[in-house]
This record gives sequence, C-alpha cells and structure tokens, in this order.
Amino acid sequence: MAKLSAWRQYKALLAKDVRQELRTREMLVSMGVYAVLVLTVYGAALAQVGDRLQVVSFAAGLLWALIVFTSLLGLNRSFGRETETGCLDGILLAPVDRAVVFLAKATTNLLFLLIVEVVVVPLFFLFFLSGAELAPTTPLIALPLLVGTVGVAGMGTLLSTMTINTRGKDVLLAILFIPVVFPLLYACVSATGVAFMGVEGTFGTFWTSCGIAFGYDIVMIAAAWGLYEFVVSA
Amino acid sequence: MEAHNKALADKLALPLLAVGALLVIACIVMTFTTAPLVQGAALSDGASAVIGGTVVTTKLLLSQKIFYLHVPVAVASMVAMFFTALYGVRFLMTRESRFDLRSRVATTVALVFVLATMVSGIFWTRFEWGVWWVWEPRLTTYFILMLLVIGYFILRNAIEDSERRATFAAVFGIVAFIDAPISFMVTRLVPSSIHPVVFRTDSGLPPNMLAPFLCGLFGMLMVAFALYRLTLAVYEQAEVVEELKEQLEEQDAHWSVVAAERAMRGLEVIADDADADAERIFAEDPEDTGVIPEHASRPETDPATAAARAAAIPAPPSGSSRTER
Repeated sequence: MAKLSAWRQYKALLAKDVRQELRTREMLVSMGVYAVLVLTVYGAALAQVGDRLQVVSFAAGLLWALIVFTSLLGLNRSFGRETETGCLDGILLAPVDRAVVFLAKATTNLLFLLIVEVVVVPLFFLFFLSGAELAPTTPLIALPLLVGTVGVAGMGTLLSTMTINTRGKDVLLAILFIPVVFPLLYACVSATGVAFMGVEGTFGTFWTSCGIAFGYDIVMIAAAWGLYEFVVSA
Repeated sequence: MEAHNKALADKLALPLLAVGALLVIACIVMTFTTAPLVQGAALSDGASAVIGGTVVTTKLLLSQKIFYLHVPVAVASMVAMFFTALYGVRFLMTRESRFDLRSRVATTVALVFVLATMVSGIFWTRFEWGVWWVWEPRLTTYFILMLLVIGYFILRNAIEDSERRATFAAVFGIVAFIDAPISFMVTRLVPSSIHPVVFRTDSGLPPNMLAPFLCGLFGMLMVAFALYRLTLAVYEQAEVVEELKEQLEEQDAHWSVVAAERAMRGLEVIADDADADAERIFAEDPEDTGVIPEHASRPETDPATAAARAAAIPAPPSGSSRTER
C-alpha cells in the first residue's frame, strides 16, 4: 500500500511538472535556444581552423561542454519556477516523502535534458561533423550520453535545490555544479571520444569510462537521495 | 568526558604545533642532507626524451625534494576534508551548531593545505616534467578539490539564514568529500593522451628517504591538528564574547530602564513639591483671585524657601530609589 502510494505521488509530481512545462514551454525553449547559441559560438571559435582540423578528434569534448552549459541553464530554471509560484511550499506541505520529491524532480530534469539532447545532438552533427568521416561506432555515443545525463540530472537537482535559496543563485549553481560533476564529465568525454574515433582496440576504455560514469551515477544519486530531505526542508 | 577531552585537546594544541613545526623543519633539513638525490626519469628505452620542450635524461633530480613536503601536505588536506564531511554528518544528525562550526574550521584548514599542495605540485610539474600544468590524475584531483573547497565558502557566504547555511554547507561538504576520490579514480583509470614518461610509482622508500618523509608527514598532521584546534578555540571564544556582549547589552538596557524610572520619580517629587509650594502661597494669600501679586510670583525671591527647595530637590530621587532597591 505504502509502495503504491509513493508510486502514485511520484507519478502525480511528474505529471504536474510535465503539464506545467507543456503549458509554458519555458525550460525547453530556453535550453534549446541556448544550445543553438553555444553552437554558434563554436562556429565562430572553429571558423579559422575549418577543413584543416579533424573536428572528430575533439568533438566529444565540444559536445559535452554544450550539454553541461545547457543543463546548467535548465537546472536553474527548473527550480526557479517552483519557488516563484510557491509551488514547492505546497508540495512540502503535502504528506509526500522527500525522497519521492527528489526522484520526481530528477526525473523531470532528466526528461527535459534528454528531449533537448535529441534536438541538439543532431544539430551538432549537422554543423560540425557533416563533412567528416564518421566511425561506424558513432551510435554508441548514446550510452555515455544517457549515463551522463542521468548523473547531471541527479546531482543537478540536489545542487539547484540548494542554490535556489541563495544570493546570486545562477553563478553559485555553476560554481558548485561543475567541480562536483567533473569526474562524470571526464569519463563521459572519454567514452564519447572513443565512440567517435572508433579505433580498434580502444573499446576497453569505452567500457571502463561508461562503468565509472555509471558508478558515479549510483554513488552520487544515492548520496543526493539521502541528503535531499535535509536540503529541501531547510 | 567530552569536556575533559576538549580541555586536553586545547592544552595539547600549542605543544603539538611546536612539535609539528620542529618535525617539519627536521624533515626539510634531512631532505637536503641525508636523503639522496633521486635518479630522475627512469626512461624505458634508456635514452632521452623530450618533455615540454626540454630534453630529460637520467639525471639527479633536485626537484624531487618537493616530494617530502608535498605529499604530507596533501595527506593533511585530505584528512581535514574527511573531518569536514564527518562533522557535516554529525551536524545533520544532531542539528547542533557546534558541529557546523567544527566542519567550517576543518574546511578552512583543508583550504590552507589544498592551496599549499597546489603550489608545491605546480613547482613539481614545472621542474620535473618541464611544464607548469598537466592534466594529470593527482593535479586534476587537487584542482577539483580546490574548486570544491572554494565553492564551499562561496556557498556559505551566499546564505543569510544560519540554520540553512549550516545544513547546505554540511550537505555540500559531504558531497565534496565523496566527489574527490571519484575524481581521482576517474582521472587515474581513464587513460588520457598525456602519459608523462617520468611517472614513478615505485613504493618502498629506502630508510634515509623514509625518515624525512615520515617526519614531514607526522609534522604536517600535527600542524594541521593544532591549526584546527587553535582556529576552533578562536571561533569558540568569539562566540563566547558575542554572548557576553549580548548579556551586557541586556543589562545595559535594564539599567537604562531603572535610571529612567528613577528620573521619573525625581520629577514627580519635584512636581509634588511645586504643588505644595503653590498651595502654601495660596494659603498665605487667600484673597488672591488668580492674579499673582508681585511679591509672591517668584517663590525663589524668598531666600529661605529657595534654599530649602535647593536642598530638597536632589535628595528625594536618590534617597527614594536607594531605599526601594
């Protein structure tokens, strides 16, 4: 019974977030536009090296920089909305387990980040890799993208809940988020890079990196899950 | 029991600082006297290699001496970070502000030692590997650790409410402590394109190298502990001073109220006096119909009455309040 009701609470919170987003489209639109802007900056940054440089060799890094900056923006939005309308207070008044609140919010963030990635990653390929010879293993980047986004959403939910109540919240989220998420970023860039290059014999690194990223997800989300109660009620 | 431990720790802080400093000095002296120079760059092919634009051959490395201070400092910073997380957990469990204070002080000590590690590490990379910076596992880890510790203090400064500040800081301290080993593991396990040729992982130091290293290690740990205790004592005393100040202010407020009451009573007495005077004057001159005659308008013109009043005015206020207390 208790399990069922927690599941229902989770579904209700998730449905609320999705409905709210579908009505305002605030988060998705701002993240999407921001991602395109980052791509534009990349275009200017790489304009002078153009054909002579093998973009494939560092495409993984560019892609992950794009994802990290875009998700920073989205994470700031996701909780701003809750506090501006007093929605979070309402949720906390209801007899809902704080862990469920965390999971629902993290899932929402994951969902929106994945939606944005589905749009932005093909754009990235179009803009920067359309002329390059892609390795046949390129589709494998989906795995580090998924594992990495899960970690970003989980850790980002905890940290953005903290920073939303502080002065200078946007900058503070970046200051806390980037060092904390660094190991995940490092592992994901490595795995994505291997998939892009597709060199025979380097796939041990791919699986190691994915494994570490997965381990990071488990450890950090477990920690965030346990600590969320303190953060959200403070 | 805890109070006893605390007193003991406070008493030990200064001697430990002295002993630690002596050990560190001994470590430095031994580093440059008894510890042998290390053969640098155990190159696999036995020839030379170019690192960062300079040719490195097997030569005696003076820069290796940094090791004797660098590693102890790094170990001390990790120990301090551990206490940040430990007291963070204890704060979240008990909600007692003293654990928050301890966590903050431990992070301050960690910041000092992390910065020292970074500085000595940068010298190491410059003089042994020939570049100022490499994204090498340990350096990267410490760079991230430095950002985390700085982030901790920025977070603290950004929150006004003390309860919330303590909670968020505790949570972030714990997250940072979990994050640091992961980032070390990641940068270690995931091979990058930079493979420093001079990367010795030989364990087991000969005795004349082990002695200064152990001196440095224990010395640094003692210094770190003493710094922690002394800083904590300063903050605790600052809190006591703050409390005393509040008490003094309260007492001050109390005494101003008392003084105001006393003044009020004095004024009442003077007013009564004036009433009595007026009645007396009225009684002396019953035909008075409101127009005060020239000679009676100023009671002070009568020297005897004036003297009596002058004597009477200050006396009742002080006298009455004294007897009342």
